[in-house]
Amino acid sequence: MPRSAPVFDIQSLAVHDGEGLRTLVFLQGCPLRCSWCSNPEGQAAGPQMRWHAAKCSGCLACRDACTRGAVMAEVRDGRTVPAIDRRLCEACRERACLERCPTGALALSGRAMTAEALFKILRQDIRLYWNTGGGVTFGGGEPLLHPDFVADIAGRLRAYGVGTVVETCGEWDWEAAAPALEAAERIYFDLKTLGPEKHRRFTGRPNETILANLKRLAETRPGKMIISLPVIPGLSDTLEHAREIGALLAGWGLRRARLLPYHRLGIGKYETLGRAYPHRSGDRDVPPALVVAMQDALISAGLTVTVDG
Amino acid sequence: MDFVPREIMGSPSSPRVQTCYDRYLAEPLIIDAEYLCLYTERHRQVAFWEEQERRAECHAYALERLTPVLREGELIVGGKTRYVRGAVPYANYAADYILRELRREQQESQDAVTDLGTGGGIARVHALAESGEFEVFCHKFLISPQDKACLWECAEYWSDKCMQAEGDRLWKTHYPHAGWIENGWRIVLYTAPHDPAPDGRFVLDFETILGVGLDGLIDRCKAKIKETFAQPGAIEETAKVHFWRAAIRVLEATKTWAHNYGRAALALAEREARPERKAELETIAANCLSFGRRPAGFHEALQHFWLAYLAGHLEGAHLGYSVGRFDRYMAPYFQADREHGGLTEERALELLELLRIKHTEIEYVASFSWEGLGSGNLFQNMMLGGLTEDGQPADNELSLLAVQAAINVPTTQPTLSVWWTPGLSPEFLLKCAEGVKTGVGFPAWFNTDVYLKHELGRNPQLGLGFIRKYAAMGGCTEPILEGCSYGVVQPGFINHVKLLELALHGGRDPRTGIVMEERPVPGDFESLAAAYRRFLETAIRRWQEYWNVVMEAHARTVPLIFCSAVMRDSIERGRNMDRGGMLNNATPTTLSSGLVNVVNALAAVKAVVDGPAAMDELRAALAADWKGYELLHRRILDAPKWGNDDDAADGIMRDLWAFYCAAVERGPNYLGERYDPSMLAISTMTPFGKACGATPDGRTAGEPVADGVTSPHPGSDRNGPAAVLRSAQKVDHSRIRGGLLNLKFHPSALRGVDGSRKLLQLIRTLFETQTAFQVQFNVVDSRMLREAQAHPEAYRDLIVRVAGFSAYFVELQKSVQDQVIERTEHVL
Repeated sequence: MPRSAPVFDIQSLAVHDGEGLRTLVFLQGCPLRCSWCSNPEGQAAGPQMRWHAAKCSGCLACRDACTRGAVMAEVRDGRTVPAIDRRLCEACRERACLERCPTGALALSGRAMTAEALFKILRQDIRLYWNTGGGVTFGGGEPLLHPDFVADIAGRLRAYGVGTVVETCGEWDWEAAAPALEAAERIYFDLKTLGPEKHRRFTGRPNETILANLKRLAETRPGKMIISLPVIPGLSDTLEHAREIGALLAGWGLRRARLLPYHRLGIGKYETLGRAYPHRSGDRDVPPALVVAMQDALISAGLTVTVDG
Repeated sequence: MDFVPREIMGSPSSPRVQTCYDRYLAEPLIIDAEYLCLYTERHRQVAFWEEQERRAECHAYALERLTPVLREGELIVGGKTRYVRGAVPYANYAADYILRELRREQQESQDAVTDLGTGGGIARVHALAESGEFEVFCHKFLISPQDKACLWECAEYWSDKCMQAEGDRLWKTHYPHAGWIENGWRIVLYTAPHDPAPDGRFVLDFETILGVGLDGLIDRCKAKIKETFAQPGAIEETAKVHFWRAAIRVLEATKTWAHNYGRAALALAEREARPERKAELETIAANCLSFGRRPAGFHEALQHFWLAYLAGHLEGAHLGYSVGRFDRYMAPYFQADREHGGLTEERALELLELLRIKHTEIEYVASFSWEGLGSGNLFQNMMLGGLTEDGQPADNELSLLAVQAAINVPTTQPTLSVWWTPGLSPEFLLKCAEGVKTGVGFPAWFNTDVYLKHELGRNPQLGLGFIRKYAAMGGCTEPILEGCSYGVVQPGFINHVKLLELALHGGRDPRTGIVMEERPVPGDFESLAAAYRRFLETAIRRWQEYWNVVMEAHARTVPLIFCSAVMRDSIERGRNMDRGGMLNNATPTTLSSGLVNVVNALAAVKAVVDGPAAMDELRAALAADWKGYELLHRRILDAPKWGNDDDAADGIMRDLWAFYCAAVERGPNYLGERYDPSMLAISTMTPFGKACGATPDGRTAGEPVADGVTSPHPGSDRNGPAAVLRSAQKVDHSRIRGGLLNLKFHPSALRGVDGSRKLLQLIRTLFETQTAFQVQFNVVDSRMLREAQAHPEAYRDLIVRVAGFSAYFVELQKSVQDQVIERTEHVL
């Protein structure tokens, strides 16, 4: 049985999230539900039906095709468009609607790919990775929900001298994730907040496991670690937060971090999934001056810090 | 509105440059008939002279009498017209479009599919026209009542004497397939007659012009005449003597014209109260009055360069007339002045910035449809970097400053291009990356080795060292050899998508019903592909044959005497460039655009259509513009497409590429060499698309065809930009003269020096396979472009790369703006 994982996006020529020019591979499924998430289509474990209003002609062929009665017509902004009952839709495996949609307004995000098939795509850019010192970065979703798959790809790339980076939220079982942790040359580890209750409020889960995993990584693989610190309005947009984090990371012997200021670029995706944008302080911006001050605070704690975004 | 600003934004390096730049941006476009009136006045008197001497005399007579205009703050003087943004209407090339415009008649059939920009300096034209002092001419120019009267009179005089009239007389009577060509225009298989602006696409021999001066060339002509008459049998050589006499006449007049600027500067200096400006005017006067002799300092050399460049520009109706390897031939004057003459970097930069503004001031007027095709751009190309004769990287301090000047003063002209080669200095490469990050779209990047292979294959007698040294760009993406390549290279474009329509419908154009040639209607992929190839071959052959006849008219009516005399080896051979005076006569090209759509269409037919019934259904779907056939449309759109590293499409591209090149190369040009295959787009994608119905690649009726040569059709690149590059690498660009690949980056993708390095690494990876030829980048946030569309007044100086050239975004026609926005943006 070949190894496979659900992939919901592959982006080539990426310049962020690692050295050189990279290919980003997004794996589906995440244990957290962060309110500011910019890849909401990657949260659920299975493929997601997306509907793009701008492409839809309102022909309702999808309604006629649906075998579950999951599509109804509704009038929105003066035109008739399909309204999808997500619960019914997700239980369906036939997806007759997709074939009948003439405009591509309905599209399924996420498909199972074997390691073989994914590697065939990645292999084509090995010259590019060689020339630029780049490689492959796994993101998601949470890629470490598929540790064997990640380790498999990383091993194949390793044979060409190409490195693999993993971006993770830290919410996973240590033993299960071990092969991928071992195979990755670098781990971007997200640290949202230290308060367990606040963490639960903004992400749906407390942070005990995350902190325990981070501490253990700090002890065993400190050189691979870069800590990603999202700066989210209402959650982590204070100087005290930066000081607190700085002290903790320095205490654990972690040396590198990056600040990721809040953006709304994923907001349009929620509409395609039929969901409301969940982040409530979403209209607030992070002042650039605050980001600089937070960076200074972290540097004072002895860390090397970049600002990405 | 939220958007990511451009990372690099320069500003003029001195208040003087700012003043000149602001003046340029505020000026409307104006027609200036002065040159034409003088030229015509003399032509009436010398109409029966030998063709070369007549041409020289008319041009010389006009040059000597043009009004020299100097403007406040300028350090380099000289203009093509009396206005900041003036255009010369060359009725001696084509009078018909001028007369039709004056009589407010419908222009060519292609006008129906052309649209023009409306913002910026064009908006200013319409505002001023309402004041009543000027009238509007050709949609975007102003013309004064005096100039209009004179232009009208001249155009009537030229209506039966201009190049177009002479050409039409020749080909419409002598050419057996004249009907095919005329119908080809009606159905927009070809771009409109190119007669109003056929010249350009070459670079003068500035090395010689600066090195020995016009005086040296005049002496050479005199010596040649003497030699000729000293030999027995000289009577057979009269055509040569005519050329040398014509050359002397024009070279002398060019000096007089240049010296007139010097005298005007002196007169201004006498009246000037400010001592600083007085000194500047005296320097300007000295620099102009020394024109004809070898210059000493950098400032003087720049002034001489500019006057010579302008003199060549005045002589003909040029598009693509270019600067060439500026950082090579100017370097000796720059270095010497830096080392011994006290030239500072600041001063050099200021001069280069002022020079950019001078280049951008030149406007041209041509028929309405050609305006639309060129988006008003003159395609003046400045080439930097590359190799020296012995294969060393050729960039230097001046190369860096030329890029910096373009960052500081982001004018559309001259377009900057870089001959990329792995050894270019890191400083120069990083500076070029900075230029890209201003979002202006230049420099564009060209792969040196691919062109060397192409040119060496066609002209082995020139040798590798020679080609390395003189490799330049004549126009947006057409490489030529500086100072020695024949200029009038092409008769316009062939519309591949229209050929596909003819193939699909048995030779009938579905839009107009015109039957070009009756053929069986294809019922499957194989017969469709075969029919397309057959029509392509016919369209190429006839286009070449037609143009060969027109070029005889060019040689008889408007041979370029000045330009020939200052290029190799006209004087030595005693021939102007139309009569074989150039070292390289293998430059005439056959151009086409839209091949990507044909590739996608054939790939889709192959994947989706499984027999004559399905083919008929497809034709019905196309006729209905996909209405009622939405599912078929979906399947067609999902079929393999070029630009995804998918051999199902890329293999078809490779086959057609080779077929096209072979078909073009079979045709002889009018100079006794073979035609050279090329592909370009400029702005043909809009009119070509408008003239075509829905096509089997999934295009809807009227939708623009793909821009570029190897750029994917907008929206059809599903596998990301790396796959676009891999597809581009699959075709052998050394077969053609040219090539074009657009990539668009979001500003955040290339931030900082790390972003620059990544950009450079990307270029290196693309070029190292030795197949890809060109790549250019747009680095702007598409939200900013939409904002600029809504509020053009706030984005007057926003420049974007269109297709082989850069343009002020707000002056582009809406359809081209949309396409720039739509080009898949790589948000990384």
